[in-house]
Amino acid sequence: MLDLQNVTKSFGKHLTAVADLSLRLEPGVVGLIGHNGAGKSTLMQMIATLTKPSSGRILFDGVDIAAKPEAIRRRLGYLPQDFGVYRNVSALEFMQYFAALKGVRDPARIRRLLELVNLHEQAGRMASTFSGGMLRRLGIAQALLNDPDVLVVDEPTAGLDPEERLRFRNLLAELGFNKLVIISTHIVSDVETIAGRLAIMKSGRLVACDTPDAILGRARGQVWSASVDAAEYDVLRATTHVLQALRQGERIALRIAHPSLPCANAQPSEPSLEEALMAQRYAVREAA
Amino acid sequence: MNMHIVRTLALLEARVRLRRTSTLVTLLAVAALSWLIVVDPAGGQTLMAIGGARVRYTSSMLALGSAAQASLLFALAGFYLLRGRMAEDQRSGLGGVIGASALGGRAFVLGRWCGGVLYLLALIGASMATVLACHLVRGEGPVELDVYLSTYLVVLGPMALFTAGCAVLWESWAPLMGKRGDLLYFVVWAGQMGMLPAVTQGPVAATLPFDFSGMSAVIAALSAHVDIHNMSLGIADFDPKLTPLTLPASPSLLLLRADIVAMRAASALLAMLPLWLALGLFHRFSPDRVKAARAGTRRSPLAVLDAWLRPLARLAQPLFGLAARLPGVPGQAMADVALTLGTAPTAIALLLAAQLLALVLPTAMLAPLVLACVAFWGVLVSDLSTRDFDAGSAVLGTAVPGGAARRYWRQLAATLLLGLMFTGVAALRLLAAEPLRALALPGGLFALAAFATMLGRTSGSARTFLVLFLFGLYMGIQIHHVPMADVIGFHGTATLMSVLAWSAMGAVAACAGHLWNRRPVHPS
Repeated sequence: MLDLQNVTKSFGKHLTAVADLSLRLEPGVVGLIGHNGAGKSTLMQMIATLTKPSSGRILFDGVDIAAKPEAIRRRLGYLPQDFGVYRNVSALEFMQYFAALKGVRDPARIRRLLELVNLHEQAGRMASTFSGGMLRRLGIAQALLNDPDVLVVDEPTAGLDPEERLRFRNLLAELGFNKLVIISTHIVSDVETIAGRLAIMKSGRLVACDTPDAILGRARGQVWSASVDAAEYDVLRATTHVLQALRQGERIALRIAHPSLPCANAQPSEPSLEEALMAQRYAVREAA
Repeated sequence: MNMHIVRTLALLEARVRLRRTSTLVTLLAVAALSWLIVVDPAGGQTLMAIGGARVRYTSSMLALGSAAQASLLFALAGFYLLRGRMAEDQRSGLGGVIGASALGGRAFVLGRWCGGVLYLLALIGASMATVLACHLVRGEGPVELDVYLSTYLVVLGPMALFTAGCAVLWESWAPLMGKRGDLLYFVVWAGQMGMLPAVTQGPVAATLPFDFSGMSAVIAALSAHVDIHNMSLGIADFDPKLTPLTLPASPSLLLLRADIVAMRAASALLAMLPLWLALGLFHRFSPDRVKAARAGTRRSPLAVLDAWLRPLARLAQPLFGLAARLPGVPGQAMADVALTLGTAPTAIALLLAAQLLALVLPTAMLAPLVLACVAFWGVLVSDLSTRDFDAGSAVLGTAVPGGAARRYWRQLAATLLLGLMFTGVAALRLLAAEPLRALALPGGLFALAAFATMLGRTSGSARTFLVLFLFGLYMGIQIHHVPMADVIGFHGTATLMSVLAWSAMGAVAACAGHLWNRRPVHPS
C-alpha cells in the first residue's frame, strides 16, 4: 500500500532529519516510535505530502506521491500534533468547511463523525472554546471526513486525560482493522496494545520494524532486575543502562538493560515493551 | 527601573525585528518607494511643484520633500509594522513566562518601545540613504548631510516616538487589541491628516503639536516662502517652460525656525503620552486581562452585532454544500467564501443591504455605495490568506486535495468572489450608464484581491494589506484627477489604460505570491 524507498530528507547541508529510510506498510496500525528529534514528524509530514523527500521515493499503490501528491491526498486523513481552529466557527461549520475542501458531499457523514467522536451534542458550540481533548476529537473527525485509506496521526494522545486517551486508542484500533493507521508517538503505551507493527526510529534512521512480540522476544535476556547498595548503583549507572531505580530501605531495586549479566546478583526479567525498546536503543548505541 | 535591562530588551527587540525576512522585504520596499518619489524631472514629473513650476532638487528641497513623504508613510505603516509582538508572545506561551518572571512590567514596556523606535529609525535611515543616493544621481546641488539630518529629525522624530508609543499602548491595553484597534489607529492617523488644512489658514495653530506626523511642520516651513495653495507634493506634473524655483538653502530659514522647532519639541513631548499610558496599563500577560481582551471582542460593537446576527450565519451553510459539489479551485474557493461569511454574520447583513441598495439607488449614488462596500470588503478579507496560519490550522489545509499551492489560488479566488458579491449588482447597473467605470471595478477588485493574498502570504500578517489598503483608500478619495488613483472607478476618472495597468499589476502580484508560496519550507 505505502512503500517508502530510500527516503532521505535534509534541511540545508548539516541537518538530515530522515536518512535513507525504507519501509513497506500495509493496512493495520503501525506505531512510529522514537525519541524527540528522531525524525518521526518529518517522516509523517512527507507521507502527508506537506513536504517532499530530498531523495528516495514514497509510493502509494505504486504512484510516487512526491511527483503526484493528489494520488494520496484524496485518500488521506491527517491529524497533526498541534492544530488550531478559527475563531467564531462552530464545530459543525469547521467540519463543513473541511468537508467542502475535501469534496465530501454527504452532509450526514459530518453528523455521523461528530457522533463517533462524541461531539454531536456540541456541534453548534464555538470550536475555539473546546478543551484540548475535545479539539483532538474534532481533529480526528476532520481527518476521517473523506473516509481515508491512510490515516496519519501525530502524537495522538498529547494533552488527553486517561479516559479520553483510552477512548482515542480504541477508536484508532478499530480504524486499523481495514485501513493503514500510522501513529507517531514517543509514548509507548499509546501503541503497545493496538499496533500490529512498530517502526523504531533513531537519529533519522529506521533501526527496527517488527511486531511488538518480536521486539519483546529480542529483548528477552537483555533486561535484568537486581538489588544493590548505593556504591554498586554508582558503578552500574556508569556501565549499564538503568531503566528504573527504586529505593527500598538501604538498598536500591534496579531494572537494567544490558546484553549480558550486569552484576553478580542480577536476575533475568520479563521486559515490558517500553523496556524492550530501551534495550534495543541501548544495543544500537553500543553497536555504534 | 534597571536601565541595563531596558537597553538589553531594546537591542534584543530591534535584533528580532531586523533579522526577519519580512524586514528585508520592508527595507527593499522602503528603498524602492523612496527612489520612486524622487522622480526624474526629465520625464515631466517632479517631487514638488509650485504654481506649475518645479522646485530644484537641492538638499533642502529633497530633504523636506522626502521627509514629508516618509512621514505620511511611516506614521501609518510604522504602527502596523511594529504591532503584533506581544500577540506573538501570547501565542507562543512566552507571555506567561515573561509575566511570571522578575522582570518589571515598566522595564519590559520601555524596552519594547525603545526597540520599536530603533526599528523605525532603521527604516527611516534606509529611506534617507536611498534619497541621498538619488541626490547623487538627480540632485542639483551639493549633498548637505546636516540639512538632511536636521530635517529628518525635526519632521520624523516625534512621529517615530508617537508611532512606537501607540504600537506599545495598543498591545498593552486590552480594549485596543485586535482588528478594531488597527482600525482605530487608522482613524488617529487620518485625524492628524485632518489638521493640515489649519496650517494653510495662517500662523502655526495651537493644535498642531498634536500632528505627530510632521506634515504640518513641512507645510508651515514652506508657507513662509511659497504659495502652498498651488503646491503639489509627491509625483507632480510641472510646466518645463517655467523657471524652476529654489528653496532657501539654510535650514534655519525653513524648518529650524524657532516657532516650528518649538512646535515639534512640544509634539515630541506629547508623543510620549501613549508610552506613559502603556507603562501604567500593561496587562503583564495576566490571563484575567488578556482573556478579558479576548472576551472583549465579543463586547466590541462589531462583535455584539455579530452575536445578534448569528442566526444569519445559517445563510452561509448552503454555500458549504455548493462548495462540496464544485470541483477543484472553484469549490474550495466557495468553501472559503462560506467560512468568511459564516464567521462574520454582519457581512451577510451588509451584503444583503448592499444588494438592496444597489437595486433601488439612483445611478449617481452607486459610486459612494460601491466605495463603502469595497471599504468593508477590504477589512473583511484582509486576514483571509493568513487566517489558517493565525488559527494554527495551516497543516490541515495543506493535506487536503490541492495542497498548499491550491490554497493560495483558492484564497485569491475567494477574496475576489467576495468583492464581486458585494459590488456585482451595482457594477451591472453601472455597466449600462458608465461602462468604463463598471469595468474599473472588477479590474480594481482583482488587483486588490491579488495584493491582499500576496501580501498576506509573503508577510504572514493581515496588517500589511490592511494598512496599505486603508492608506490607498484614503489617498484614492483625496486624489480626484489621476486615473491611476481611481482604482475602483469611484471618481470616474479611470481610463482603459489605468484599468489595464491595475489588472496587470494584480496579475504580477498574484504570480509573485504564487512563486513565494512554492518555495520549500520546513512544515513544522
